[in-house]
Amino acid sequence: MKQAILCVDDEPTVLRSLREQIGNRFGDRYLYEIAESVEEAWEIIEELSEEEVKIIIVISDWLMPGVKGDEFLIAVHQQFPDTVTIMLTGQADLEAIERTRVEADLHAYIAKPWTEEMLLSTIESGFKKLNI
Amino acid sequence: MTSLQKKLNQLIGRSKLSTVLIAPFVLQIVGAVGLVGYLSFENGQQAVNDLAYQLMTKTSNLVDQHLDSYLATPHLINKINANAIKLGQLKINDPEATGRYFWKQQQIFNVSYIGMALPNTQFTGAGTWLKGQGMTIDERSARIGYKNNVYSTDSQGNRKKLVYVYDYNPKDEDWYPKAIKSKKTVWSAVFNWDETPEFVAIDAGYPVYDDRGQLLAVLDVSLLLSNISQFLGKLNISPSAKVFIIERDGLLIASSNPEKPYKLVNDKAERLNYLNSQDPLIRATAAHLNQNFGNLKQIQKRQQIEFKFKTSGEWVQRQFVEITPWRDKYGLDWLVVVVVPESDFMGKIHANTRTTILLCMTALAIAVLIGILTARWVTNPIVRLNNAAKEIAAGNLEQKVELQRGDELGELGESFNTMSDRLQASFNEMRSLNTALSESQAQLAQYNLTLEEQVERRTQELIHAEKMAALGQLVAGIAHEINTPLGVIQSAIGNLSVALNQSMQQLPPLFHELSPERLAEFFTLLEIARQSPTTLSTREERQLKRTLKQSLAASGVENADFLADNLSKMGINANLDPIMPLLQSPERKSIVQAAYTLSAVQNNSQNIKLSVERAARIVFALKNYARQTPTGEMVKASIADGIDTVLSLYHGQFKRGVEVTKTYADVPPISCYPDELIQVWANLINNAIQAMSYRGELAIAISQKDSGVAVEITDSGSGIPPEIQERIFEPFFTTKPLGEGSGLGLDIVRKIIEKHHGEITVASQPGHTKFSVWLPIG
Repeated sequence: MKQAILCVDDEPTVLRSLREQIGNRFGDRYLYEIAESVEEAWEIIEELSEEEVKIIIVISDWLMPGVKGDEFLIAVHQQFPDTVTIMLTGQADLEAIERTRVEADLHAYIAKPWTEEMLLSTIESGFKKLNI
Repeated sequence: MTSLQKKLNQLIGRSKLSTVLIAPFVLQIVGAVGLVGYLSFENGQQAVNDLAYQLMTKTSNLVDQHLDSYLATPHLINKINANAIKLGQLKINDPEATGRYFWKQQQIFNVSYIGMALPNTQFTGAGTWLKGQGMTIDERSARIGYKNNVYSTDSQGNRKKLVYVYDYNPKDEDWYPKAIKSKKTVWSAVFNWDETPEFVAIDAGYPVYDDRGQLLAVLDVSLLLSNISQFLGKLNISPSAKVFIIERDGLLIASSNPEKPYKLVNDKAERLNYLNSQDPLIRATAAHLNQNFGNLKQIQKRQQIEFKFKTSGEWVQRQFVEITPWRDKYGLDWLVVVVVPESDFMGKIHANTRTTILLCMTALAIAVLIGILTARWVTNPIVRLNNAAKEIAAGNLEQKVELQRGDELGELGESFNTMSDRLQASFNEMRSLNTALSESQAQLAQYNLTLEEQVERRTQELIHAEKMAALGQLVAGIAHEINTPLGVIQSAIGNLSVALNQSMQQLPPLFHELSPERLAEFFTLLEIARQSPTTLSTREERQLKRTLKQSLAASGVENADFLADNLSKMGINANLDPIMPLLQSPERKSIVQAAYTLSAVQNNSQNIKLSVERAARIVFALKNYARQTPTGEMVKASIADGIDTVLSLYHGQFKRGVEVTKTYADVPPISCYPDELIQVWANLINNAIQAMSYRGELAIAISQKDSGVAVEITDSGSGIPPEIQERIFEPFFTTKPLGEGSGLGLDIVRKIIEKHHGEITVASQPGHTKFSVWLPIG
């Protein structure tokens, strides 16, 4: 069963950089999907489910037009309790982070600008959480 | 009433004080004296009228009584004589006896003549009529040949001697035929005696018959009417009063005026008509009566009339007239007229009136004199005080008024002097205070100047602080905006390094293994990748991947999934035919991998470039916003640029849920202070997104309106309650919790707009709040 890592951010440049960084490190072991909005992310989640691809990690920005990152991660957590949730954002209010931590079992909060090391070690710690 | 009072006040107000003080005295005295005089005059006149009429009536009655008794006498005598004849006491044919009898009778009665005529014209009589002879006895008889002999008499009635002989026939007299004709007592007509025409007389005739009705004699008594005049003349009614008696044809019977009751016409006496009286008052009365009654016969009862008449040397005055008819049973029908001039009674009254006027004038003169003295006594000090006050008013403060009086005016003078002293002292004090005040004012002006500068500086500081506070709110959002490109750059750099390393490893063996054809196709692939658009959205990229995968699968290419993944990341959506041999070659995975790695270099470079641009844009906007330029000349600037700068800064904030709609018309740049306007837009936009809690619609419209540019910033927030809409532009007015807003934002906005000679208005209802700014193009 294939596994995927999903990144959500309203900035395409951020998304492509993330996909490349993660892809460079983990290669062909996972699928890497990117979405510019929460709405698009759900489309992808649906597609992947149909293809029986399991999303193991969701990395989401917080401040986006439309649905915010905390709401999205909470919804993902409710649907896929095993999925590791990571928030990567330049600005989020503490309330939102706290709520996500409680309600979506937030694995980590990474502040922009992020370092490759921080990002990758966080993902790897997520793998460990999943016993991968 | 009020207008009367006003006029009175005006009149008094214009008059001098002395006039005002004197006038009431004079008016009162003139009024009182005049009224008393007038009333006494009126009363006097009324009394005079009453008195005059009473007197006239009394006089008339007196005259009546006199006439009654006086004119009854002749008939009485005739009756006595007739009885004497009938009794045989009087022998009618004995002239001696009858003469003596009549003489004796004359001694008793006051008549002028008593006589008797017989049908044979014999006549005897006695009377006083011949001048110088006293009482005489007349005889006409057969024995003396029917001559008329007049004998003088002694004191016993004896004939003394024949003194006069004249021709006389009693049948020629009026009374004789009249008496025979009427057979009873009659009056003759009034006549003048032939020998003595000054005697006006009337005869009473009485016929005597015997038992058989044969005429025996006609008795005659002659009455001298002049006696009535004497009686009238003695009445003494008033100095100028006249009493006269007339017959109904106007002929005078008697008059109180001593005048001749006849006039001589051809040496013959004729009776006088009252119209021709010598007395002017009687004449005037006659004229008035004739005019008033026309015919005197119409007067049947007592009449009282008045008329005006001017007696010589006097003025026209009223004449009271009373006319009383007098009649007797023997046919006399006369009028008794009493005329009294008013002046006879008014003399005293007029004298009184003159005295009253004289007293009045004297009292008036004294009153005026006293008034003037009193007024002068009262006004003199006032005039002096007034002059002194005028001097003070003119600025000459050293005024003293010495009145030497102990009354209220004296006190007033002392008060005035005290006031003058105080005034002088106050004035001096005021002058020194004024000097001090001028110095203080100068100092105050200096302070004011300093204060104004301080306020100006402080205001500038406040405005700047407000600007920085707004900036503080922005920083969080801006951090995100900056951090995002920074994160991208950081990761792109790492990715670039990885891609370079991989290329270094992948490319040499690839170049070594590939045939020249494949190598050419490899470069073609790179070229296609280089030309491919780098701005595909993730959704487009996924679509592209699906399309490529199907296309490759359809062409029977293996590893279609892997290839499509890499090719889609490279953005290749061109016709794959030129490189199809390459994709079908056994080395296709490593070839596409190498191509992707190379394109990653380009993509990461592109990402770095985009991110740098984005960061630069934000920094530029921030620099625009925070710029602290001294207020210098206005410059031409685009409003849209200013608004976009602010929108850039708020880009991050909008992501929370603000949908921005921009409707920019093509408008010319305006003369303005661009950094100050940016502060306006920042304030309005910040307020808008805070008002809708970072969630809603923000519409910004720019259009040309009149000779300016209109900017409308509309939000879908909850709106501004009507009760505070008026106040939102006031300084320090804020609805935010303490410490979050200075309350200066909109005040500064308004000041800046006013500085640009523009206008700002607000219209708000829940869900639709619009701030409209209008700025002249200038």
